[in-house]
Amino acid sequence: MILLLIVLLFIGGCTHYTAVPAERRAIGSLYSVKSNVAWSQADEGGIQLWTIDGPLLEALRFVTLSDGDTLFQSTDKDEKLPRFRAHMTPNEVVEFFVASLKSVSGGVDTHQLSKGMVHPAQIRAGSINAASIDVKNLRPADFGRLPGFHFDFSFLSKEGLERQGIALGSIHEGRLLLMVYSGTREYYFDKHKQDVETIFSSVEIVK
Amino acid sequence: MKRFKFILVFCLLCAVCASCATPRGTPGAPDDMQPSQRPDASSDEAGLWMYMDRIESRLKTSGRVVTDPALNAYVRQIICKLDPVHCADIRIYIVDTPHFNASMAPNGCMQVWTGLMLRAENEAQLAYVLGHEMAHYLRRHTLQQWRTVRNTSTALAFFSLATAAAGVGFAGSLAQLAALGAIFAYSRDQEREADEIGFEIMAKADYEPVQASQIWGDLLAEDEAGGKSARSIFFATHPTTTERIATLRNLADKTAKERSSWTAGREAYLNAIQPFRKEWLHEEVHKGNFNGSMVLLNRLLKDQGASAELHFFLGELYRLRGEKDDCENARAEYEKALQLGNPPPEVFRSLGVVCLRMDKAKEACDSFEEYLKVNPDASDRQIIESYINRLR
Repeated sequence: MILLLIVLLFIGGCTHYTAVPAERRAIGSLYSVKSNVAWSQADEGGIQLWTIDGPLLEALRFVTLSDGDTLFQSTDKDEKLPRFRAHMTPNEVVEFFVASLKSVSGGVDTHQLSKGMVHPAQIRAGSINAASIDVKNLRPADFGRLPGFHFDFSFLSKEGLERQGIALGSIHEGRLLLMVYSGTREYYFDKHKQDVETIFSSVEIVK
Repeated sequence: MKRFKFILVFCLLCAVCASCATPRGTPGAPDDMQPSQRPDASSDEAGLWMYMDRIESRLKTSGRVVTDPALNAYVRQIICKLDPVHCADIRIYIVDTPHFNASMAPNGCMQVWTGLMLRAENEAQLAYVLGHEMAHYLRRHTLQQWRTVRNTSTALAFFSLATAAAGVGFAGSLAQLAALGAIFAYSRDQEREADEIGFEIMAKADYEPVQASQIWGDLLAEDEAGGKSARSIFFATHPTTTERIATLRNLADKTAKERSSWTAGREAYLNAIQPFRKEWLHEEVHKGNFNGSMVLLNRLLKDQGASAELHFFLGELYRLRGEKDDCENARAEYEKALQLGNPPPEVFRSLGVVCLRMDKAKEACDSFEEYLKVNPDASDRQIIESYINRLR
């Protein structure tokens, strides 16, 4: 029972949230955005995550990737997760995004898995396992003063929940700048969609 | 709480070291599963079923289950042909994932992954794998394993996995399905027994015996090309050896002489999977195991003959791998797809992307324009138009 409690505590983790006031805010060193409403912010494996009602209901993620980076982190150096390449066209970025969402074990080594060497927290943190991913309306869009692209998407989460999302991205100096907002199709996606679009249109490139 | 503790303890006990399967017919082994049989409510087997029922209820709502009635009916008729007596006790879930796997839970919940269906070349090959899984069910292998390990300390080594599979950490994911496969991994003796029984029921149902060793051999070749990290989930839980393949081949040589004609069911099989093949190939090339997928696609080309669809997806593999000369390789495959006629419309977009990468602006522009011509309602029309405008 003690072991169980330790495991549960480990799984529960201690995600630390800080307030994001309704003002302009730097996203890394490359750009800033301005929100008209307050959000809560957490670090998700190096990705800045903003949410109002909780990440399971809706979340806005700010992703910055360099050539060769994966969207999700792997616990196994041999794991063949999709990698971003600086030469990608917007269509290929979308392909990369979808393939990452579909990753079967999401960074869990199936060889270790078969031997029971994977901690459940690793599985939970890594597995996305989205199904029925549908991307629509890939179109050009401004990312601040940079040429960029915008797309809509939907998928079924691993819990079987229908989720909907929008994303705005650009490839700048070999790096992918991507803002991804997703929420439950039922209520939460729409609840903050307008706020997110305001954020999308507020991008200012720092350099 | 008491119930939760029971499930937890039960999961621990279920965790499998799997080394001491009871040989077929050995005294002390559980009797074979009877039609419509359910375990006594107070038995250890009932706990096993309760656990699997919980997992199955999650599987039912998973977005990955293929619900197409025709495909489900097709797989069901194979099961019923293999074992008419137990057919009604089996619930089939076709799971949309590009990996070779099939599994059979002790409560009759069978999973067939689309990666297996893409790889099978005919109905006989699929029937053999299903027969093999049926054998685990009929012989109650999972119950045997549990009874073997429940008093050993090795069960604790699987604590994390068992806890995860019980739903503490996650629910309904593919990782969970894989974890379940690991928990119910079978021993080599049990695998041999399942090979033997699977082969028997397959041959009894008139399926061509040689197809049994064929599908195992093909999968082994693909696995070896893919390397350790791409090792199939199925092999992780079903240790397949060259010795077992050879045994199946010998069995086939002997059995084949028993009658003059057998059924491979090739045409019926290819017709049944045709509506799904493009999507399954798309998932296959995007899963990131380039070498393994290359072996598979070349095998399908050899088996099914040249097709625009297969050459297109070979091109996609090269494009996605992006190593030296892969742009040229991809382009060559797309050209073959175009020459064969009636290629997927996406071939023009991919050709445009590859030409763009090769600094061939004119060809890229022409390909993108052709893509919009053959696919006027493309959802990505605006971005493609932006490429064209930039290239002009």
